[in-house]
Amino acid sequence: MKLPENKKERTQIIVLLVIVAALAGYGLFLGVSRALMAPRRERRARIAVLERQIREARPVVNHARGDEQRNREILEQIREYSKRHLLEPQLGGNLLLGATEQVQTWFQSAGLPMPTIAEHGGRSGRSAIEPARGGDPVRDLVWSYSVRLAFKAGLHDIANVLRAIETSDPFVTVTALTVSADRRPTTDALPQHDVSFVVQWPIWRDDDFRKELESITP
Amino acid sequence: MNLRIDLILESEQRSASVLSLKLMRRLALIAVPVLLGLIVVFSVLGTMRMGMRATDLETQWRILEPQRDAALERSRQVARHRAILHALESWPETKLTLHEQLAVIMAIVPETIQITQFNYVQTISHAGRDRARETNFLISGRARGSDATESRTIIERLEDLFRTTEPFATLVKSVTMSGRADTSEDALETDRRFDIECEYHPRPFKP
Repeated sequence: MKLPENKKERTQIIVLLVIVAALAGYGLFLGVSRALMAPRRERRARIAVLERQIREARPVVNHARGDEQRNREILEQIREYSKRHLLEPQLGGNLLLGATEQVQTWFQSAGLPMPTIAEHGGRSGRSAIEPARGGDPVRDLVWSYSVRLAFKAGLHDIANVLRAIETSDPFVTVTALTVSADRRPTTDALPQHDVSFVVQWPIWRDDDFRKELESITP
Repeated sequence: MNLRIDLILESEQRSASVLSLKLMRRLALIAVPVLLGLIVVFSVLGTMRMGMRATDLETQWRILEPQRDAALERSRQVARHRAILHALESWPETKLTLHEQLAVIMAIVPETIQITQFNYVQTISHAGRDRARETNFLISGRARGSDATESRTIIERLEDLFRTTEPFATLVKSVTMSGRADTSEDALETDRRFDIECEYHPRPFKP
């Protein structure tokens, strides 16, 4: 095929051919580039995700380098508190035995006979520190154990036994006290009031955490 | 009349123009594939380079991810144990010593007052997520003055003492008193019954 001799017609045909060629080339380019670009796009996205994850993870790993030592130190402190102040179960989970021993010591030092003692509140005296929301590590592990003591005594004896209790251990708490005045007619004898109070110790909810503490080597 | 004789055969004829169909055909057949080929080659090379980078990052992440998970777990453990330690440390710090307060009560209650009942309660409770020890006590009794007005004054003075005497002045948030005539069998006409309730400021645990 020959181009026409007429310059104007020749130019028109050339322009037309160029346009057609350009469109065909662009179409071909689009098809090829799409086929090639799709995997590039996926990899680019994957690279961006990985770079972000790595960038965010590095400071977390660096910061946690000291955590093992910090955790050990905290657990050692908790272990000291546990050994000295938390009421330990005896003979397969019995807390009342240990509590009764302490009550006996207090009342002896105050010169009073042994009171009536009974577990108070919760299940067998055990209560979660209440109320609390789920997932609270303290509530999950640190509970309280309470006993109610009942006896008769004068005001000074009451004050003495309270002093013996509260100075024996800073963790032992008198959480309730009821004193009802002696209604007997006035005599030479000192009034003996009806006294009831609740003594509370912190305890571990169960033995798992205590065993975890004991397994820590200094 | 014009006459034109072509002595050159049609197949030997050449166009006078620079751009001929033949040239354009040649250009199309050579340049376009070359161009396309270059585009494909560069794309493939670029994709391969990205692939290698992605593989390298995947390897790094495979090593780093378990380290990150272990670090997060360790941080959670530290936070958990620290919360327990703070609770244990706060236990004695938030406690109120009752025997000292009882000694003060015995000192400020005058002889004209007979305490008939004393109730003291201390609990650990929450306001939101903050743990605190809350305490209150109730003293019930009877005042015996020379007349009803004096009995009332004795009670009011006692109420005032709970507001102003240490440690109650610092520890107690509010003092509420209610009084009434004493109608019990052994009461005198001038006797008055009272209840004084003291509510303490909450003592928060360490967060």
